[in-house]
Amino acid sequence: MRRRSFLKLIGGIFGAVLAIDIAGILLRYLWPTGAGGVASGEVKVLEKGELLNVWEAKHFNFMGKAAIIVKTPSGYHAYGAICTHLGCIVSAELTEDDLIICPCHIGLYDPETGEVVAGPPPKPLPVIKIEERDDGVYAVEWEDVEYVRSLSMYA
Amino acid sequence: MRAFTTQLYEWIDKRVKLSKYWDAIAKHPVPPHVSDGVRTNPVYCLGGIAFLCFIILVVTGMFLAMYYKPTPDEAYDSIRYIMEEVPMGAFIRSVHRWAANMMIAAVMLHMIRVYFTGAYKPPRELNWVIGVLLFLLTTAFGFTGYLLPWDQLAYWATTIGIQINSGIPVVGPYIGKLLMGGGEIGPNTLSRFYAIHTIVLPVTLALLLGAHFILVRIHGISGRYL
Repeated sequence: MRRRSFLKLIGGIFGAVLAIDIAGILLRYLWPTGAGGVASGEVKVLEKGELLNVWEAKHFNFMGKAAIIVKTPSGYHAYGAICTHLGCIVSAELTEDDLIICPCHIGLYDPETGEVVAGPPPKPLPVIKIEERDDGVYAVEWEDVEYVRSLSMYA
Repeated sequence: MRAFTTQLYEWIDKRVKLSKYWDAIAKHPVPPHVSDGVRTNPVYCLGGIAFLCFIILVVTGMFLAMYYKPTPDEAYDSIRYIMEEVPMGAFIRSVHRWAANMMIAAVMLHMIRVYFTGAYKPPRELNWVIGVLLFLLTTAFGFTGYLLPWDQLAYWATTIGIQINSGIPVVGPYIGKLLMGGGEIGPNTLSRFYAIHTIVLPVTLALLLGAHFILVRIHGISGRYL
């Protein structure tokens, strides 16, 4: 092998390694961090002192799914916010009758229990257990994991 | 005394030989079956129409980017602001939207013209390949731009689009996650789509368009079939 072609080969290998390196760096940069596969789903929903008024609701993210916390006269309740009908996200603004509403096809849910009151949804919203601690309100876990697994919109 | 504009043109022309390049681009002859100098066959204008749409989209897009805010909290409101408050805002956005639809239509019709006139045959195969890439980039423009209003339609259309991509065997789920910038469609998806729509795709499309045009000049327009 002549010196020129040897140097070309070395340069080519060096260049290829460099290119793969750069591609790897860029891919790592683009790859989302800390998303999905969270074993512990526990999440702080409301900061200490951040209070909802009665019949106020707020969206949050629970185990990678849209969820909603709502204050009723009996306290805080949290549910998966994905409508069991066709998978829209229920609104964080309750209706005038104080019901949780899915705006897509006017599915109505009871904010006390998550049960369907009216409209097309076939099943109630899944309940999320919450705990009020010193430093805020936490969403802890699905009350019925089997039920959540049975909902195709939560797959 | 010649007009000032003529003088200016001649001044520039003396220094950069503008007319040499401009005449080569603008006064380049085309075959008689494309244009006889009086009448031009419109089916040979479709690629040009798509290019014109692209220019309109780039210009209106620049103006839209001045007001648009790619965050979940502000995206919808910023577009509502463009539509209702900004003078001529509704016009600019509507032109952007119509030109986007027109571009996809023109690109598809251009493809059909090329197919039925056999203009993809040797030695023009590579330009057909580049054309297919341009078509895919155009649809990618449509896909990413559709999310930006951040309304229900946008959200669910993107959900479906990403689910389709995630359906690709083996690599699908990774592509989906990469597109979403996380486990679900959220703020990261919006900023990613915005960056792709306004920076990545325009640059890529412009480069490929350059190659497309250069190849057309190398090969010339194909023979008479229509």
